[in-house]
Amino acid sequence: MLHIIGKCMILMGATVLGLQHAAGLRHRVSCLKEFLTALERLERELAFALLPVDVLLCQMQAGTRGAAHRFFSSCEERFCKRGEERLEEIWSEEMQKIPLPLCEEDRTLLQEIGSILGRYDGDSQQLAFQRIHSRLEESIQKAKEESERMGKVYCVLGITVGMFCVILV
Amino acid sequence: MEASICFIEIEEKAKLLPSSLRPLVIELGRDRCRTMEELRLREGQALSYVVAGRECTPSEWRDHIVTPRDISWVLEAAGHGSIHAVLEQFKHGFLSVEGGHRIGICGSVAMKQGEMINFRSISSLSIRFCHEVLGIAEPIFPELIEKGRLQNTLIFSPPGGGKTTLLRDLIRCVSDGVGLEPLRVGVADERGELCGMYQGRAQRNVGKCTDIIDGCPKAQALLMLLRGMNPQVLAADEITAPEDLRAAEEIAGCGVTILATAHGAEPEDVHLRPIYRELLRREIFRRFIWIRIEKGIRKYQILQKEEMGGLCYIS
Repeated sequence: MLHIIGKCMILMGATVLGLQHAAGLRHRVSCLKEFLTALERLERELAFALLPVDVLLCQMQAGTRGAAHRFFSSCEERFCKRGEERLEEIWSEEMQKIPLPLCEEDRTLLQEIGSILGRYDGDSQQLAFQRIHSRLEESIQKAKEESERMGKVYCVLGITVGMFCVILV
Repeated sequence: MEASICFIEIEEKAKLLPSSLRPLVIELGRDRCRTMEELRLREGQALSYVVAGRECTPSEWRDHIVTPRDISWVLEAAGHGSIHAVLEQFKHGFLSVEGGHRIGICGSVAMKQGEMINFRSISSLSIRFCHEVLGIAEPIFPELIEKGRLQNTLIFSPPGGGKTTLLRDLIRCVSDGVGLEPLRVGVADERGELCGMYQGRAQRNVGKCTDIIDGCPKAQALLMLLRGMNPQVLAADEITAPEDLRAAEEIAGCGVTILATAHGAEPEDVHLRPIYRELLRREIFRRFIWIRIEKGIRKYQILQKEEMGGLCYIS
């Protein structure tokens, strides 16, 4: 009896691992979409009213959920303290500190937003953000495809490895 | 009501400086800090401050040299790290900050097609503090009224003479109904010095019936107020451009009272400058307040369009 329970647990464990990897890919897609939503809001507000950075961060925070929301919330809190740090430094540190389900390439792309925001005139910022917007959309598309393709692979792999372990034991 | 000076507390002044220079201002003490009119930051030199028009550097400040990073911090903090939001002010060589204070900027300028687009590098800053003097306009306010009606008034003095401080209190008197029923006042506060707008609220007391447009060119703001806010009085600081004159004419023609200021050491200066000569020729203003400083005492002389008014001493 215990033998059977053990084998079931091994199978479940391997399956869950596979599902977790697949979920990680989906979370990456949804996180990137949240950042895209925030970027679109940023572009609109810059074009419409040239709002200062603290207000923009507040709005980006309000329009996002999950890890992205925590990221903007943290940036806004630190930025509004008016310490010796610039937004670029705060943004970079928070990008590493907050557990975002993103790969290094995603972080590098999003880091560009932090290094541009508030540093140039409105038109130059809008132009730069439009380029980042296009690249972010491409990243989301690739991430979606990867999630669909590899998600199934990880699930099946998880079950297969689990069954293999069960047979071996 | 006796004039009461609202002192800006030491903390409000010190917070405009980076952490490396803030303790210097705090250690100066409350009394010395209260009379401080300006703080001067020059790269490579010690921090200094201005009192009664004189610049001085306390001995304890002489070892604290202003660095490019200090200057950069002041501007970052003043602009909320948002150059796009303050670029227009920046191009005019100043930034307005919370409390109605103003930071003047000096340095090497980047030009494009004959127009300044930005500063390449910044070498010095002047943080000028806005002091509110409530009640300073009340002794002279009755002189501006004729047959129960407030007259179009122009205040003139040299730079730093107290025109803005007087205009601010005049606006308050009109808006709160001091000696007259309260009137709706519209203020075109182009540089944010009159009312000190911050996050949608005036930081200075300009009365309860006052509507303010800030950050907008004066002429445009005056006409927006005229068309949209049904004002009874309109006020603007430093009429200098031909379009300001045209806006003043339109306002006067609509039966709205106008209060304004202009640079001029003496009445003759007002006659010398073309735009003011035109203002006089068109008889837009019926009262003139001449501010001058004699032996440290600020004096306000009311000049009527037709005759000289009485002298009024306020220290």
